[in-house]
Parts: sequence; structure tokens; C-alpha cells
Amino acid sequence: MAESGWFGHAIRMGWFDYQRSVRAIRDDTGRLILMAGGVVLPTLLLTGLAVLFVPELRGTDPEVSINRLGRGTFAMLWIFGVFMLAQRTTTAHSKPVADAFVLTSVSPRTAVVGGIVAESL
Amino acid sequence: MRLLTGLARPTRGTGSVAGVSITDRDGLRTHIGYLPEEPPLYDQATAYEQLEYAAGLRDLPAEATRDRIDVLLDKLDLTADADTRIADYSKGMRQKTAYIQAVLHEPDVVFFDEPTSGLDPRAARTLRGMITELANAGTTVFLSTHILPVVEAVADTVGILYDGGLVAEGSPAALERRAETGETRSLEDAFLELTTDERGTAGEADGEASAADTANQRVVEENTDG
Repeated sequence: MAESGWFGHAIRMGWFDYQRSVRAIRDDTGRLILMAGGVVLPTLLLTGLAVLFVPELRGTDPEVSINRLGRGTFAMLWIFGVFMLAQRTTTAHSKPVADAFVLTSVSPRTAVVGGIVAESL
Repeated sequence: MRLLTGLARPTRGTGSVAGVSITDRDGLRTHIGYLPEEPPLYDQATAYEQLEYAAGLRDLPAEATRDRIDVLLDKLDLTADADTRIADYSKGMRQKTAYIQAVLHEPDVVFFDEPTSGLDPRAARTLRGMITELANAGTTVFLSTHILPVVEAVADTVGILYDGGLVAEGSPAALERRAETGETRSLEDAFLELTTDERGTAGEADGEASAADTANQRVVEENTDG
């Protein structure tokens, strides 16, 4: 007997999880500041780089050039950032919350899709 | 318990709960409620939100469910704190909330794993009373605990597990009669004798009593292959 209305349950799970995450972040000032920093600093960096190099990238300002060393360093830093983000995310969610409740209430398919919905929001 | 609730798959043998195979997880869900030792709750939600969420996942009718939640919260003295975040709850309040969650959909069989462990005497008594009431109302209760007075208070049938095997099964009175020593011939005496190996050392960590109210139906039928 398959779970009827599983997609609706998944949406409900995703929304509930999203609300939980928002509350958890709001309650943790340190985490909130670090997350804000994580968003603001790269945005400023990218904006600065764009201001500096977009004319060059478009080929309109040949006075400034990015050499291969600069591009390589930037790419390495970018990869490092992605690695750090992935590592932090996986360690923060190393154990499912209330798995005994979830898996005795809905199917594994619903739980997985619910998790995807929550992460997507 | 994880096997009986479909959370783990058996590597061999078969079993059924309320007539449904324990490998049929989809079929099992509507028949069972489960309260593990660590209450499966979300700290950031309030008790009311958590219970409404649980009801929604089981497609319970909204109006009737709200009434049932109110009644159960009231019985367990949680009404005043129903809109408080679970993160701020005591162990007893968490356990009571998880109890409501486990029985909200009125399952045929409810599994409780150490439901009164770590609770203050008042909360333990309240929960014990609710479990007894649940069993008397016709729900089959499967209870696992190391606290033998709880077993004596609520169980019709007791199984004693030791070192991975069922070493005794019967009514509390029948098991007490098996105790050869001990002044009171209590369930505790029986437990200690049954879980003492030939060298005379007791298995402190391994012994566990499981109790099932089998007044209405047989909970688990196990047939091990070979």
C-alpha cells in the first residue's frame, strides 16, 4: 500500500523544516552574524572584482589584465569556499532530526522529497 | 523495536505486527505508534505546532484532531505550555508531548521504549497512568523498560530479554513464582535470577524487560527460519 498524498506531505515537511531552520538561525545570533558575513563579504568581493575587471573581460580596457596566476588563485579560493560550505552543511546535518517519527509517519520517498523541498526554500 | 516498527529490516526470520509484516513499512505505518527513548521532537516548534504537523502527515481530520490534541494536552497538564517552544521543555514535558504524538492517530499497537526513564516521579506516574488507560481502552501496548515497577504496574505479559535472547515470557505473577530466592519473590527477583549466567555474574547492561498488553490481540508473531 503506497502512501497516498505523498507529495502534499513532502511539501508540508519541507515548509515545516524551512520554518524550523529560520527559527534556529534567528535564535542563534552568532550563527546569524557569520551567515550574514558569509553572504555580504563574497558579494562585496565579487562586486569589487566586477568593477575592476568587467571592462577588461569585455575587452574594452586593455590597461588592466588578469594573468594566469591571478585567475588560478581566484579559482583555488573559490573551490576552497565551496568545499568549506559543503563540509559545514554536511556536518551540521550529520544525523536526521526525529527520524523515528518521520519514518514511522511517512514513506522514505516523502522524507527525501521533503528534505529537498526544505533545502530548496 | 526498530525492527517491529519497520525502521530496520530483518536479516533473517519474519515477524508481523497487527497482522502486517514488519517488512511492509507502508502497511505498518497506519497501525503503529512509536515513542523511542529519545523523544522525536523538533526543538524549534511548539508542542501544538508539532502535534498539528504530525496529524497533517497522517491526514487526520483537522477539526477532530484539534479537539483530540486539546484533550490529550489537558490530560497531561501541558495546555498552558502548548505554545511554548519544545526547546524550553523539561524532559517530562518532552516525553508527554512525544506520547501524544505517538497515540494521536489512535494506532492499534503502540511501542514505548523506556517511556518513564529520567522522569520525575510525578511525570512518571502521569505517563504510567496514561499508558494503562491506553491499554485498558483496547490498544495493544508494547513497552520496553529496565524499570520493573512500571512493568508490574501495567503489563499483562512480560518477556525478559537477556544477551540477545528471550529467556522468559509470561504474566508478571507467573514470572514472580519462578523466583526461587528473594524475600518478596518480586519480578525483580525473577529478573535477576533469569539474567544471571552460569558463572553467577549478572548481565548488567543486557537484561531488559519487554511488556505487552495482549488482552485484545497478539502483538507480534515471530517465526525464525531454521
